[in-house]
Amino acid sequence: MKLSRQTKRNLNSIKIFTISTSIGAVILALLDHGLKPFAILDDLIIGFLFGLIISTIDIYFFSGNIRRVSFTTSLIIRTLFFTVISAALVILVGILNIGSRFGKQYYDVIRDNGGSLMAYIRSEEFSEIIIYLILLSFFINFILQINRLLGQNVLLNYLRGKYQFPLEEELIFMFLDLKSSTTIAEKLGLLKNHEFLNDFFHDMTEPILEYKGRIYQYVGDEIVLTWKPSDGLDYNNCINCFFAIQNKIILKKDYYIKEYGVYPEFKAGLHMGPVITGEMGEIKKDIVYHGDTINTAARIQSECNNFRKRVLISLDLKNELDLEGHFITESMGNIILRGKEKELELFSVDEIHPL
Amino acid sequence: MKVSKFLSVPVCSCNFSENFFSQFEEKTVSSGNNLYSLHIMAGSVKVKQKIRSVLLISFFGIIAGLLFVGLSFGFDAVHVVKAVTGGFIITFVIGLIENFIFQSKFRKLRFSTILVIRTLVYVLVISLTVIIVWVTHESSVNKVGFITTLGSEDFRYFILKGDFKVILIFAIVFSFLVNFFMQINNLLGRNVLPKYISGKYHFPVEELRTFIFLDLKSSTTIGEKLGPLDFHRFINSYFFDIDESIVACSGEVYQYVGDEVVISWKDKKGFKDSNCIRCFFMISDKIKSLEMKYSEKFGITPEFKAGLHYGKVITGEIGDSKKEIVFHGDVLNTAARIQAECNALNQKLIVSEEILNNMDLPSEFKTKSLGEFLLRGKEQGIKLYGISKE
Repeated sequence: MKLSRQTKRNLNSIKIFTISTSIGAVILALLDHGLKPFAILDDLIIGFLFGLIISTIDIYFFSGNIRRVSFTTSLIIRTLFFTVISAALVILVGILNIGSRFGKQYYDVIRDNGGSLMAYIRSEEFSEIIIYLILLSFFINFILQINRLLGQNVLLNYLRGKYQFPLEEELIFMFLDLKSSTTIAEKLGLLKNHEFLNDFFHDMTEPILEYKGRIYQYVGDEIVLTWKPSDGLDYNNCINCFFAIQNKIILKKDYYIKEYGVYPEFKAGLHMGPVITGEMGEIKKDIVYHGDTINTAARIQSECNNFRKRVLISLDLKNELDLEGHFITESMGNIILRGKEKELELFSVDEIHPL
Repeated sequence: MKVSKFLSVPVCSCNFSENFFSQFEEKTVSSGNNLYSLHIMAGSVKVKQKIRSVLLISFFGIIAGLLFVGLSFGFDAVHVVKAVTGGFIITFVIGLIENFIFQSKFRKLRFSTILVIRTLVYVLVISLTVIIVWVTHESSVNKVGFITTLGSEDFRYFILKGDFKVILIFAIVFSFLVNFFMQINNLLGRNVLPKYISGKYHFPVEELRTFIFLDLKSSTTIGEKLGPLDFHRFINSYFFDIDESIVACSGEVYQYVGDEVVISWKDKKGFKDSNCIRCFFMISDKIKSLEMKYSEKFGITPEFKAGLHYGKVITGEIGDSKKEIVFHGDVLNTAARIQAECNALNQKLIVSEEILNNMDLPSEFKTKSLGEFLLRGKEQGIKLYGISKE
């Protein structure tokens, strides 16, 4: 059976989440009870089931529906949800424990009014566990929300101090720009235009994640994406990403026309080269990129209109990609970069079977 | 004089030389000239500001102490007195450390290092204060000396088996969380997190805002001269040095775009105390006072220009996997275009008519009318003014 890329990605995140909750539960058991095999087993079961259930629901249910909910609402819903699931699991394991300890059938334990199960739920130990679970769920979800505000992996990079001292790295940049955005903005008015852009950026998210791109910055109606070369060159991800976005928008064209009277048309310039990456600023910290590569990518994007092409890439990037047989490329000749003596050969890229 | 000099040290030591001693030398060398005395004056105003903020924090500390003690031990007279003194001492000491030591020394450390050090310091201050308050109370009740109390069986019981353990665990968790939030707040930009939490911009809102586009002059040339790595360091230290002035003028850093910084003020905040214009000249003065450092380190001093405009924007959250609160509107484009006119008009700061119409400019600033301009992509002309300071 061949799994789609998205399913693979989802399964992978479920795996990672489940493993970490299991490990976390074992550590808690060790801290709480010391080396008691049964306590560890209990917590391991809880941790494993918790991770599995939570991440599955999160990926297949929440990520579609909860996205557009505000920060605090989402935080509260998720915290409640985490707490309920984990409390249910604690009770479940409690039933299993009581059952095996007293040699009772499990349904007897549940039916046993005022018996050992109720006593357990009323016990101080249980309420302590619940308070602990609420706090933990809140903190985990808070961090997850923050992670989303900052963008993929950014929080991790800050924690590791990866870019505390600037370092040089090779990156692929895509500048993706809305066509005739001024006209659209004038037509829609400011408020509607914002919603239009938000919808557009929203629809872009899935293709970007699927093709391992990372959102660097929103600059007005422009979005800047980056890839590590290994991610971006693999399966021509960076090029595929553009067309995946385009196809997604084409599929939703009717929605845009109905809602706004226009649909987003856009163009992109891609380039690959060395940049300096580092943390910057104090009252607002950012991990930023500096270097000619960025200016060049922006410049390539601005050439799209002149050549009447949707995607232009530089020779440097084309040489690294494996486009032969997958896409149609055409040389656009050399352009002279602003303020540079250097010339750069550009290529247009098109799908072989456009949607 | 001696006192103010001492107090102004942490304020002035915002030049981030690699080691402490070279900073000190720099200061003694430059202490003869006018700039330094200017600095001290600016410093003492800041010292007042900082002390005020420390006192404000202490007030909240007292309330937090009351809440904590009240909830965990009940509101009897002894506990209330302990909570008030304890809460005050803890927040006052932490406030002093934050404002006078951490703010200038800590800025360039790694996220997790700062988090760990801060948490440890907080926990240390809290535990010491709790011990001091306990010992003082016990000593006065039993009418014995502090040393005797410290050696007593009661003290050992308090530390090992009594309330201290609860307080300590609470202190660790609390300090960690507070510091984590503070760090996150810095990553997102000042006051951005509360906006997400309150959901203020979850649905886009129309606002009036002032924008400055502050741009490095001849950055391409500088970039070529320094090479990419040094250019990054150059920009980083420039961004660090301007932060203080932006905060002092209550500006919000919206975005760094390459070597450009976009600063904004909501509603009329930018016009109050002529904040938006003062901000530019404060930055300018600050960079001028650090000229030596820049030319020593990079061989170049940053020169910059700015465009200012005021108008309607839409503010709202945008994006999924990376969320941001963004501004959309013509004001931004216009401010950027105004900034772009600086070179041609040979001005450092150009403002639009909208800015001047909304504020009374103090006499220290000189206005020069530059005429009406048709900016790129615009149909209506806009009147621009150059601003300079005596």
